[in-house]
Amino acid sequence: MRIDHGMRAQVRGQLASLVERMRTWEHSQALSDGVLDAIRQRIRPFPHTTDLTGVRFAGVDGSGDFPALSYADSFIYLTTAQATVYEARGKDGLAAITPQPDLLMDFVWLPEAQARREAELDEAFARLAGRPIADVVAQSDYLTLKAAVAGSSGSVAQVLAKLIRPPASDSGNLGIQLRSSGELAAALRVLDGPTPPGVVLLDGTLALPFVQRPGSSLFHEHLKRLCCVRARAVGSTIAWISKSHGLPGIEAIERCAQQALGLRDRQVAEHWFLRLPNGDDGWDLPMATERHLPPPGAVTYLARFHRTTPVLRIDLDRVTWQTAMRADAPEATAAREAAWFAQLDHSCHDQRSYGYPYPIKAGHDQASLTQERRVGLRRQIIETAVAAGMKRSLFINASMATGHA
Amino acid sequence: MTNALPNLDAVVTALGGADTRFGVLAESNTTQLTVIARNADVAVGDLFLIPSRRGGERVYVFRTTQYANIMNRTLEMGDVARTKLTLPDSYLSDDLAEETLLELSGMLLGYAESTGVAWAFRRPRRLPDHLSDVYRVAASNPAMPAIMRALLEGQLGPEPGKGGLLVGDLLAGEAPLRGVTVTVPPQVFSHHLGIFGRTGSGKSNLMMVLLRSVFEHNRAIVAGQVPADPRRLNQKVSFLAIDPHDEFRTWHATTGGANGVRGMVNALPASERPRLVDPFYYLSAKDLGATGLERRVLLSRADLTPDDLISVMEFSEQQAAFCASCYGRYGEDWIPTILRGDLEQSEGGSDYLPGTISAVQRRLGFLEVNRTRLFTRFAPEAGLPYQSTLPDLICALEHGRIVVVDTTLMSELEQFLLTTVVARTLFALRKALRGCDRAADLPRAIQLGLGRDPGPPETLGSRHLAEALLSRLEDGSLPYRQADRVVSTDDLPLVNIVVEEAPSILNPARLKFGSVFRDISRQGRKFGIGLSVVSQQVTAIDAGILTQINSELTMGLGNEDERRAAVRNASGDLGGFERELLLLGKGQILLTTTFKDVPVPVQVPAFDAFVGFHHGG
Repeated sequence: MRIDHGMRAQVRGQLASLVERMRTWEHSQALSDGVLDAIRQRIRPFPHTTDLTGVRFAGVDGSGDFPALSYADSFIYLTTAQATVYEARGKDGLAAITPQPDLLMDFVWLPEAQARREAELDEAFARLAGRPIADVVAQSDYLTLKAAVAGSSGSVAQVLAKLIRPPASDSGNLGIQLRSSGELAAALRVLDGPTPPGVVLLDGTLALPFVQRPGSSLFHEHLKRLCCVRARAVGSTIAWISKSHGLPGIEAIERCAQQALGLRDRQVAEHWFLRLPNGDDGWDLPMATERHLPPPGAVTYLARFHRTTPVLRIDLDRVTWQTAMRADAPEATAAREAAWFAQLDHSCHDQRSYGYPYPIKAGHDQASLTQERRVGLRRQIIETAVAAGMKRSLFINASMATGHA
Repeated sequence: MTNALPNLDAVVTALGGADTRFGVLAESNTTQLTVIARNADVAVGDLFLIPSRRGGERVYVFRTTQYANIMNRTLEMGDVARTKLTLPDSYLSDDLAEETLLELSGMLLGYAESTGVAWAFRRPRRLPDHLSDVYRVAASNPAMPAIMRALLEGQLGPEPGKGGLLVGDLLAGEAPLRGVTVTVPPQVFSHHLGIFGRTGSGKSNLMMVLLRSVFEHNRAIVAGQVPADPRRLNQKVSFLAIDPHDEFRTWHATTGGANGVRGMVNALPASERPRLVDPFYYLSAKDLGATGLERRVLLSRADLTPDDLISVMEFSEQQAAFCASCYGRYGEDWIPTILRGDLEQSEGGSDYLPGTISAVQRRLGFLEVNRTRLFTRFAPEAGLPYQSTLPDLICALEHGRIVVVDTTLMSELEQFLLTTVVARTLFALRKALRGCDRAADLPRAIQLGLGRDPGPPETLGSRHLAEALLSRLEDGSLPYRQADRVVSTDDLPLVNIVVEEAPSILNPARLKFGSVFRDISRQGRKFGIGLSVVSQQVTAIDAGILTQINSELTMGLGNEDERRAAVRNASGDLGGFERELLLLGKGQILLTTTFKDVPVPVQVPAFDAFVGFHHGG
């Protein structure tokens, strides 16, 4: 990109305007004293846990190559996901449990022709989920939630017909769908396994983007809620952890935590959590409500495990929360919540990811594809195809061709 | 070639199969290889084998020169370490997947290529295939000695007792691979040898091992165990070992350890001694008898020439010219004449300034009566005849003998002179021999070689030495004639003369003014005479000498300049070994020689254990 003198002046002007708008916006998001006071009252500490034994944590993360290659008017997408399972072993930390779940790896070929594309995509979703997509939709509680939120849901057949299936070349949306489905499928396999762990942790949120829209839905929304259903059934707690809480005014919340925990000015508050308003717990946080937090069917927390890591957003299945954590008295509920966060804290003390649950980090490390592995897999696809008589020249590495990789 | 390892599959099976691989080849180029390996106790210098089928069945030999602890997928070890340090309650989870790995860097020593019936070792001109499996050369694998012997055949040297002179065992990292012996052919001793190592690196022990190896080699030849071979492995080796600490004779016997050369000699059946030891094996300036296997060493002033002195002492050009003039005028009597000061005037008056003459007299002062235990006076007219061990010493070396010379009672100068005189005399004799076709002409050729021409015009030269040698030629002690035939120098033993404290006489300044060692270093190998240059420093040795050294036994060197010089002057490519030359432990050497394609790391056995092994079987 070349920026000449005139352009530079224009760019400077735009940046100044942009920053001004941001500043104004930030000021408008300032929390009132009443809200800050409510926050202070609801911030709860949990113990720094260095000794925990027996609890099993699963962590899941995914990756892929979206797309790996294009061939004529079709694309090949690669999805990878890895679940890891660790057991707390007291002061020794976590120990991986054998056998570890296999790496989930799936190639899907998507031509532009709609019917074929949708069929191929549905097959890919089914392969990932390990069951027909109709079963996923039927067994998930997503439709129940959708009916409650959007007013209608439709039959399984209608839902399947209206699943959002992006064009083969829409790599952004397909990447999100495939990667999310891969991660959730890996979690589902752990929950379906012989010894489901007590806690299943995924990177991300329990947001359901289309739940409020009648008709359309995303396959991984159904899968996400199916994971909640399965977790409940086997007695696991499934939680989504996001490093991007997506809330303004977090500094004010952190100050509240500092004050609530009785710390001095420059001390950073750690080992605390704040449950965002549920709608039925007697308080309101406008900025959360505006952002539809917590998502339907979820309970959302802000929590900080260590002063060097940011405030995390943690989403739990609301039903699980109601049965496993909610008590008659608020303080009793808070005590249960604190006990659960204390368990989670023990998983956050690995030296490679202090302040963040290591099982997710381990899943991420094992699922992520290095550039060399991507290149190797692309080559493997081409060689297999050429051996089957296809033309090598028609394979295009889209990223390479446009200089994006 | 062992039939048990005829191909790559057999080698991999012997290594333990694919399940026992130690690592996988990562990035590689022709100068450096990187191997990602399991977390294990690795040492710089460890050897690894990399089987590969690219271009044929090959097994590459990889030697690590450095390595790093890495974490699988965790890029910043520093972050993890900081967390561990500052957060004492943190832990490192016990992962099933191997998270703690090693990244080994190093170089290829070469590769063994299957010819179908054998393995031929080649220089590292090729690379193994991408992501090849890497196996560790582990002493714990009982098959490893056989594997390494099969793959490195040709680089390890001829079998001991069959023409190979043992240096030690192949060194894999810090430990030797027992049973994988490294030897050198006898020609190494006539092609000049450099022995470099800092104090305490094990040079004396190495010398003892070499003495023993030479002794056993000669013994095997005498016993007819070394067959004739195009490589001439059946040539005997003579070794003149200067011993500044008088340790080679009895080694550790006085403290309960192994005996030295005396032990080797005493262990010989009496019947073998005449062909392996007689007339002596040990010379000393101590008051030993004039006969016997251990005897007093004496040189005559008449044995010395100006070249000998100029090779070991500092002389100005005028002083050197004055010495040469005196030698030409007085022959072997030149030193007594100068010391007495009764110099004749030449026809044109005095040739040299009084200052020059007195300076030379001062320099020769160490040869005055009662100031030397080595040199005899030589004044026949005063009843002091020629008295020298030199003729017998030359004869001994021409018969393939080990001769240890204890120099503890000699000054450094005397030690150097002894080495010089022996080397120069032997060199002169072999040149004379090479230039003579007829046995009848040999006596005159020898005299000419020693600077003596009966004339006319007559030149004086070293008359008594020449006569002593001629008498030994007549009685067969000097084995230059067989019936009416002149013996070829190729059929005489290879002679190696040890130059201890080499920087004192092989430094650039000394060689600039002329030295017998300059000629020997350049031409000695043609006549079967080699030098062993023993030094703590490489840089102090004249570059011209270094370029003539064809084999190096390089031990640990503490100085960076020395390490760099050792790498630069090695006969094999030691590029990348600089760091290792610092880390080599006692008795560990890098053997580079024109007789091998690649540098070979060797653990020299402790002599006591070495002898124990052989004695105990």
